[in-house]
Amino acid sequence: MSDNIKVSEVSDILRMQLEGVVSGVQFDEVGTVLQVSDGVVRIYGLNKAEANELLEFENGMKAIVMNLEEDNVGAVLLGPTNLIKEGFTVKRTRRVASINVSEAMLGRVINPLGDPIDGKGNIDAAGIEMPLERKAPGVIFRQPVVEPLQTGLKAIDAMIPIGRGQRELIIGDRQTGKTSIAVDTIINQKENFDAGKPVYCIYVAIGQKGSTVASIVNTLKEHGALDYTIIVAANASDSAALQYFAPFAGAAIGEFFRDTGRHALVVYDDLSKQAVAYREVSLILRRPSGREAYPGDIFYLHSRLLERAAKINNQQEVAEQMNDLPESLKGKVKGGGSLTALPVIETQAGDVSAYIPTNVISITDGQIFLDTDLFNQGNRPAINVGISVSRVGGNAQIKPMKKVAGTLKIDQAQYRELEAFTKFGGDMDPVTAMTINKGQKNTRLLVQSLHEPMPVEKQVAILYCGTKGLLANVPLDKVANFQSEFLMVLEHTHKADVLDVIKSGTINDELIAIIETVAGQVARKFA
Amino acid sequence: MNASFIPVRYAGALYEFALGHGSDYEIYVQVGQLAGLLTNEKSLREMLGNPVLSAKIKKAFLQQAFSSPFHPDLDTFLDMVFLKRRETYLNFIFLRYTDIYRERNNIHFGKLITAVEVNAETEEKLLGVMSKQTHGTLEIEKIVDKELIGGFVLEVDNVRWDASVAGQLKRVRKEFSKIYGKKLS
Repeated sequence: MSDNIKVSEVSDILRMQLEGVVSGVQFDEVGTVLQVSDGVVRIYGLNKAEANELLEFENGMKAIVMNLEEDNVGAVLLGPTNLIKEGFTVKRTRRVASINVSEAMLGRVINPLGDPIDGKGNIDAAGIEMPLERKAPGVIFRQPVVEPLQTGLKAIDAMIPIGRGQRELIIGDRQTGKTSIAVDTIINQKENFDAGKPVYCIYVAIGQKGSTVASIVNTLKEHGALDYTIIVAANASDSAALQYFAPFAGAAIGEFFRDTGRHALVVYDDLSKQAVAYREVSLILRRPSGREAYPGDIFYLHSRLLERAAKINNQQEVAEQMNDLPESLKGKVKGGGSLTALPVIETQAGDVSAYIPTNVISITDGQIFLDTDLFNQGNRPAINVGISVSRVGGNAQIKPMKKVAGTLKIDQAQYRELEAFTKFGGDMDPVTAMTINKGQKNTRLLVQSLHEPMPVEKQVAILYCGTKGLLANVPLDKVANFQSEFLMVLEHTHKADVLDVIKSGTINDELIAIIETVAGQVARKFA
Repeated sequence: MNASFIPVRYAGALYEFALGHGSDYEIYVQVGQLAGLLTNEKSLREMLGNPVLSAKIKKAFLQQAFSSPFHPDLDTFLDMVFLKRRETYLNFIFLRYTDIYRERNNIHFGKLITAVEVNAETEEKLLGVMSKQTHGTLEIEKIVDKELIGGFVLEVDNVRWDASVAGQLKRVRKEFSKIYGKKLS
């Protein structure tokens, strides 16, 4: 202890003690541990303990009150069970479970308690204490979702647009690219960060392998996305209680940015594992179980978490009155912030009608469904457009995208229907042939490489070519080449008069004429 | 859930039964000792939860561990508990009984932990303050724990008053850890 501590610092501490920082006598409310079972303790005493209160054992370990019963208190341990024995004394802290949030957390990997786990040392900055459990903002303090959150993925931004403050579910079987969509969305926010209008990202990894989390951190680092991202990790080896609390920690961090007038994006990867962790804790707490042995409040667990994603009213005087504001945040609230949530759910053999998937589908404002077959066919991202939907995102598209991609979804649906008929063979009339040709080209255009998000202005330009059938004479295997060449020409010769104009949210005949000319020239090369 | 309802019902029944027979105090004393025994002896708890052992053997073991004979009313009660296969809840039942007895008789239970034996005068002085606050009978268990170094710890009704030297050192260590952000050895 002596090496790093200077004599003057010791004196400071002693002076602080003398001034009453550490009082000589301390009053605590205490109880005794009567029973310890996998991550859950039953405590005798602590008659005044409150729900969600943080408790502290004599060895410094913490627990959170979950069950308040007539003669005992049930609490979940936030550490290894073997360190707690029957007969231990436990005291109340009079604090609800909370996380200390600050900007210094950006670029770090933390556990749900806010402690860094990336080996880069302590997070020193004094932060704001944000409660893990907090009521979602009421309707008065919200605003409709009108601002887009660009994912950089053509298929999503064109057909299933996501707005700031929305909750969009990413659902699909294992190995269908759910995490990749979330990571690409985070990477795509770099442009906003560089432009000084950051969308802070929080990636919550629940029950994943440590190596998977490490590889995600690495990917984000390679793409320069770690500067505006916080990773909350409760790995598979962590206790069920930590896995249960991880999304709440992510939401609390997101709320810090949301309530201080900034934009944030939180990815919960994934909520199926959180549901399993909660089931484990509930069963050990002897709470009655329901369908698939999940507790009765599993719906409430996810709904109260996802309701915290919101677009906050931009009127300062209204935002300041927001319900359930933590004490430490009072006076620092700014209106106009948002928290967008991208929960992830893993299905088993594509069964979206299972218990947890149906619950979360009904809570969120839409879902992006990923299909194993599409993935294996090479259509990546493997989004099944037919059953994917965004219930509020349409209002959050920029005008040019709305104009260009308005019919894309229905065109693709029509193409798939006709394609099914062509499998029977026979001649096709020219109209059907054209629809199929356009559909095939569009399907190819929507294919995108991993971790290569595309700016929205480029998406609009290339999708215009697709929806207007400008690729009719381009062979199917040359569509990718057409796209790269077309975008390169636009980038070099028409950045100011086409791309920048689209980015600003306008589209006009003059601009369309330029796109058509460039597309015609490039298409001739490949015809 | 059962861990909450069952002990409350059994303990309530035992209290009413004992009160009717005028043996509530004797049972309170024995039950308090048994609760302490069960809290501290894991093997005893495991024995009670063992599905292989018969009720007769379990009761005999419990009697053996307790050493003095059970009060006849407590003995009858234990027979009923074993008959209904609720012996795993015995610890909770005993603790609940002591709670009920203390509540009905306005007894405040606590512990006085000191580093060295205290004389009667000091003890009276310490407990006098508490008696005035609690307006009831104060039942204190005295424990000597050298690890406190000095001072005392007084616990009454789940409230702990820590005025020990060890406690103060612990708090100083916590302050240091907060400032230097690491666990001090």
